[in-house]
Amino acid sequence: MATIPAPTRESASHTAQPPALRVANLVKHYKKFEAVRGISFDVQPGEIFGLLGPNGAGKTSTLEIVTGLRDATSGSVEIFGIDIAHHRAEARALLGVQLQESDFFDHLTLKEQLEFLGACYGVKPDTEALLGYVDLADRPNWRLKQLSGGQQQRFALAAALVNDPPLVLLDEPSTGLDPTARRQLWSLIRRLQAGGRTIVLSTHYMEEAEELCDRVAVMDRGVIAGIDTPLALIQQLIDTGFKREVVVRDATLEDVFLHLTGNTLDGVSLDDARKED
Amino acid sequence: MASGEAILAHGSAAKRPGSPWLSGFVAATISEIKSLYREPAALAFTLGQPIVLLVILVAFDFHTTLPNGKVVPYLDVLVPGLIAFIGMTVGLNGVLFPLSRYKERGILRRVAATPMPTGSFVVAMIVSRLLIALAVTLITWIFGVYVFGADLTGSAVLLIAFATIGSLAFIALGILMVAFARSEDDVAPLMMLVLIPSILFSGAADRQPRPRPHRPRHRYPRPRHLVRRRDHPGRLALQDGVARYE
Repeated sequence: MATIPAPTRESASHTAQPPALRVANLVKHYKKFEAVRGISFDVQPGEIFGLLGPNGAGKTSTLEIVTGLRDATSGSVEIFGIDIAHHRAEARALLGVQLQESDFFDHLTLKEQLEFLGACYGVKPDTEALLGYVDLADRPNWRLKQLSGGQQQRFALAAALVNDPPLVLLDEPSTGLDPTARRQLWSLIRRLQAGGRTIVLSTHYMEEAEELCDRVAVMDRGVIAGIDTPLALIQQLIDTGFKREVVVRDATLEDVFLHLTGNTLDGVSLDDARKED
Repeated sequence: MASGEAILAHGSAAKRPGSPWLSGFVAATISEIKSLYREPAALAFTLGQPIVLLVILVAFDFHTTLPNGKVVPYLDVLVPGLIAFIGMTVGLNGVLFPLSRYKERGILRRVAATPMPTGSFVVAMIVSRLLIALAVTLITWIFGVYVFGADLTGSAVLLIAFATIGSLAFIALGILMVAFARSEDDVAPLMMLVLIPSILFSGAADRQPRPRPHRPRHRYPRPRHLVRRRDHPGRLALQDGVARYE
């Protein structure tokens, strides 16, 4: 298990309060299969923390235990000092969740979906502001199936905020999105962090982790193989004498795609998205 | 995206007084009722099915013999039977298909990740289906008795009470079966497993409807109370082995 470095961001370094998320010696077995094998890490308030790893690394199992959807075989999870195993409802009230492979009701409009989810938290959300945040303010009466894939993912992000959570968990939020839609989502996530929220996201896109995360934990076969800032992890690798075969290209196919198609998507220019970045 | 700036900072959501249990239950119940009336096919099937059955069977003016030998219009037996059938179909159909779909698509997981207790959502499913079943029961009753002229003997309160208990039993059975269904594809065979024995053992199969004795069959549908008022105001009964109007 890797040591846990102190967070490097200034906003995350004032630590009189408990960590936003504390995972300690977490173990999860499914019959004989060990999905998570004794991982520990803290996420400080205001951080964007990434769980990186290939399929089957244990990221989703970890997030499911953090949300209280699964019980850990052993170990503990605390959200702002509240143990989710013993105070599930209180801990969940502090969590915003965007789950992988979770859907919404077909028969409700976007506004009604947000109101329904808000009611599940015992709150009345500001649906206009939530839809405005994800640039869907003009479609409160649309159904989810009328939206594009990128719009659906953005709506899912808005749905994760209905309870005004200080900690937001995003399980592979940009999976299946085209590069432009993905960059838009990143911009939204960064703006959330600027608003004082803590974000934990799982991803298997290295570029996404590098762009967004203050710290990342690299998971493999149920353990954390490395945890630090992306730059520090890269430096640690370079220090071992690693050298990447350098191929200098002035542009990639992704650059071509963004140049050709990314100027406008849903009324947002790529330039604007980059300025926000 | 300027209109959404208010939501960015933590601490911006308005709180609603009340527990997630109650607010979630109310929201889920309303959502489930909306799921019926916003789906035209489901609405037409649920509300129209008993009326269509009534129209078809009244059109043929069938009669049936009770275990005590009394010959009665089939409609008098059909209406209570339909009410029982509604409890079964609304209970099973109304729970099995949507709940298994919610399960398969991760909607239940999303709801389970909120502070609302799972039981609250389950109770909302039960209450919404029960309300729908009782509404269809009422429609069947009104159409059966006041439009088609069924003569129901016995207590209306008892009938409603049994309809409620029956609906609850099948809703509970539906929820139990969803726990075993891996996907929506598993649901139809599971439903048949309950429906067919229930129909067979209910006795409905023994009570064969027959054409009205000693009277020509109507060639077109006529509400029974109109027929009765014009031709014979009384009830059919067996007298010396012959069916006559009393």
